[in-house]
Amino acid sequence: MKGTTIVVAALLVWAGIAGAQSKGAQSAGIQSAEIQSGGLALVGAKILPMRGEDLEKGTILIREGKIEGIGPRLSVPDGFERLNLEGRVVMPGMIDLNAYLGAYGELHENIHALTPDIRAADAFNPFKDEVKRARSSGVTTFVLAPRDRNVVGGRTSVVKMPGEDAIRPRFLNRLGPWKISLGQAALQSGRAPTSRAGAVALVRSALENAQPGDALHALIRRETSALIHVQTAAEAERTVALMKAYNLRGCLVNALDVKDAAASLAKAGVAVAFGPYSLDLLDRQLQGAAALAAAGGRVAFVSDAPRTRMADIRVTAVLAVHLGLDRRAALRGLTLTAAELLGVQDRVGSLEAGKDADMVVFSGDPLDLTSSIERVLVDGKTLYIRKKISGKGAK
Amino acid sequence: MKTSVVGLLVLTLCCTSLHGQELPSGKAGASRAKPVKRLALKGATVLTVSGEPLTGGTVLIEDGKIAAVGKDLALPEGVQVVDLTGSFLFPGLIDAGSYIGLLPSEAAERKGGLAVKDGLDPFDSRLRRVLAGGVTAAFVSPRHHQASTGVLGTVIRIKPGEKPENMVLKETAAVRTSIGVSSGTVSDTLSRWKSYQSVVRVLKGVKSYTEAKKKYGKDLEKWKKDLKEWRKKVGLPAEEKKTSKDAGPKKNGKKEVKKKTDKTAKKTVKKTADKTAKKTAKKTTTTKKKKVPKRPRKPRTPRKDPVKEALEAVLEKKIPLRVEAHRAEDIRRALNLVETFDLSLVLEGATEAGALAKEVETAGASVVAGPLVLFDPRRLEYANFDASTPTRLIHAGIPVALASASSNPLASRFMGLMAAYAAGPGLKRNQALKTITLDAARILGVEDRIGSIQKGKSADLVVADRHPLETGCVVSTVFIEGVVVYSARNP
Repeated sequence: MKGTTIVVAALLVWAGIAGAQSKGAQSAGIQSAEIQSGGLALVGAKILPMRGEDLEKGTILIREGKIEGIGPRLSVPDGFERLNLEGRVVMPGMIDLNAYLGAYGELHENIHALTPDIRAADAFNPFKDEVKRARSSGVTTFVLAPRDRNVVGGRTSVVKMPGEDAIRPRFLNRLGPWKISLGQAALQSGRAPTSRAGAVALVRSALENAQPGDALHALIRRETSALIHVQTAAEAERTVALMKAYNLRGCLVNALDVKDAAASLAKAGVAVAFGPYSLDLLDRQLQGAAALAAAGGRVAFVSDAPRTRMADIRVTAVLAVHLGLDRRAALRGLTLTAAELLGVQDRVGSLEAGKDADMVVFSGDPLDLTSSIERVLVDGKTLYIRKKISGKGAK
Repeated sequence: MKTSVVGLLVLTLCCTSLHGQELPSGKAGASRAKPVKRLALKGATVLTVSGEPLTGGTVLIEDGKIAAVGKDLALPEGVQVVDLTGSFLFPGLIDAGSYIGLLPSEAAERKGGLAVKDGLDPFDSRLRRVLAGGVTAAFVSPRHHQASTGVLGTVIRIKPGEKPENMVLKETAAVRTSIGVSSGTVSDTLSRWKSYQSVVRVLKGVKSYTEAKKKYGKDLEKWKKDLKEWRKKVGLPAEEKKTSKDAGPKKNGKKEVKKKTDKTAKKTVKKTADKTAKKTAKKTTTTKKKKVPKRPRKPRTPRKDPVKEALEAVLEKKIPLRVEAHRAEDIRRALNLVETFDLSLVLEGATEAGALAKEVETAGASVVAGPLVLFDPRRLEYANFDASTPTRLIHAGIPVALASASSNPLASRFMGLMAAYAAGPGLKRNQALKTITLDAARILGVEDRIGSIQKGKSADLVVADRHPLETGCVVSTVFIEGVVVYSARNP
């Protein structure tokens, strides 16, 4: 008798688990919860909206892929699915200013140094495994960029992280900023340029000779901006001079070792997207972001995925904070600052009514590595849910 | 005069640390300043690791060891007390797999049986940065752990400027090898299987190496016996006298006289020996028509091989075999070794071990995981990287330690952050802290001396402004054996 009770109980428990799992699988998949109901309400989490004050406990209402409302005491309308996120932290989806995801080998030309006609979007393959893996990274928008081996690499694309339903990738901006490279990677034997001075000269002549209708003309007319790959402080200084001379808009990316140029970058108003860091960098290199922010400059981050895991963009930001970067500057660098630098701040980068419902649910402080990503939403759809790990010592 | 002033300056600089209080300093040395034998660190949040954290706890250090740990400790009279209220005190962190202190040429050495201490550079300026990350000990071995040889690994303490011998905590801590590790992005099934076979061959080779040694021992005994009998037969005294070749001095003008006497002595010995031998020989030939028995040959001494010596310790389960294996099938092959050779196994890397947790647990293997962040994910080994692997293994009861696995010692300074990352998918803080302290010490076989704040262990301690897993944790002071080896005031 006792035995049967236990069996029945076990069956009931099993059924419960199975039910919960299938529910989780459903919302993780193509179907979003909002299709079944009017919308989705995230209730009880700490909210870091990036614009305005943090909410210790708030509600976010999502409908049709947009944020409908956000506030400390919002009532959940009828027909909304309620998601209790007590104890969690919600922030906007992260934005990666330089990645090669789904197109790594296809984004540079070995023969020519100037390839202004390249469009990164043409190389993008959203079905690659590395793209699938990046869904759990917390990055919801990334710049698909030509590589740093070409002095003028071509046009980037600003891409929304694709889910399983992304047969056609969604672009926030199909023709995004230019990618320019003045770093060591652009200097290759067997073709010009072979020196930094040569690289600068090449950019200069390309800009000076750009005719209306030419690809690069938009850059001089400040219609578009540029993401300029540099590594050293000297390269950064030269780039600032070049931007001043030709009245260019844009920011620096990668910028491994620019601490010494922090003051002049801040003064010129040139932002820097740092990363990807590695654990064996010198303190001076890791302090670049802190120095720039302290001097009043703007900071953002890049992953160069798949050269690193896209999820490591948060680790890069954490390392910058570990070495002295202001926490708020780091969080904004991962979100709103990056959106502003791309000119897409009306769509993404902060949690505000009317913006895209791109957000990440953390188990705790996003800049504390003991917290992990539990859920990622893009356009109101759940892109990723963390699987629970069971075991003896489970939390 | 000038140097003594400078010396004094260094001395005072080293001693002013920790809120300006004088502490035993590494550079001051035992000969110059009287070492403080007793020291009490009071008021800090003590992360003992072995037990619950103590808020406002006291740690008493005596002669470089932890003499007592507690909340309301009665301190002996005259003990120097350092107030650490508001700080965190935790055991020195451990990097369970690194190339710390090895010059690039040493780290890249492919030859097997090299002693790590011979390649260490104690003057590498980066060692101080490692201490600044709160790391006081590390497992060090050359980078190339080819399956065909295996390399020796040593546990060292991070003591900048010290003699390598004094840095060594456990000289032969493990033998490292690998199964199925690709050279970047190319790897085929056959070569991975071959690498397993070569590990098996090496281990079998050790068995025959041991047998050869045993056989040599027996042969030697037999030879001694045979020699005695032979000497009897040919009429020589039972014990062989030391010849001048063995005992005599080298050719030297000053010792000409001695040499002469030696020569004559030798001659006489030889003559008499020859005569008697000839006589007996004649006798035997004339009477029994038999040949002179041959002098028995001494058996050849087998060549000593340091890796095989260490592997003998592996097969006696005295030290573990560390096998780098990432993919599930390679991990299974590594686990096979436990059954085949009855050895204790430590898996390195173990990227896909999460799904095999039960098998790993059954084999009694431990895991050294890492790096978990900012590695190149394009390597085939990391194709199925899962940040939750350490969590899954720990939940299955498998001891897990973390490794920087970097060729640059600077990477070791972020062990705290790596442990934090390991905790993300579902470990409690103290569980995650164990991966870089107590469990790392256990896996390295040095848990009797380091890894936790417990009575009797070495006073390798770190003072910081917050929990070591927290972002922005700044280390202010590091003790090794109760002596200050790093102070943030003069890094």
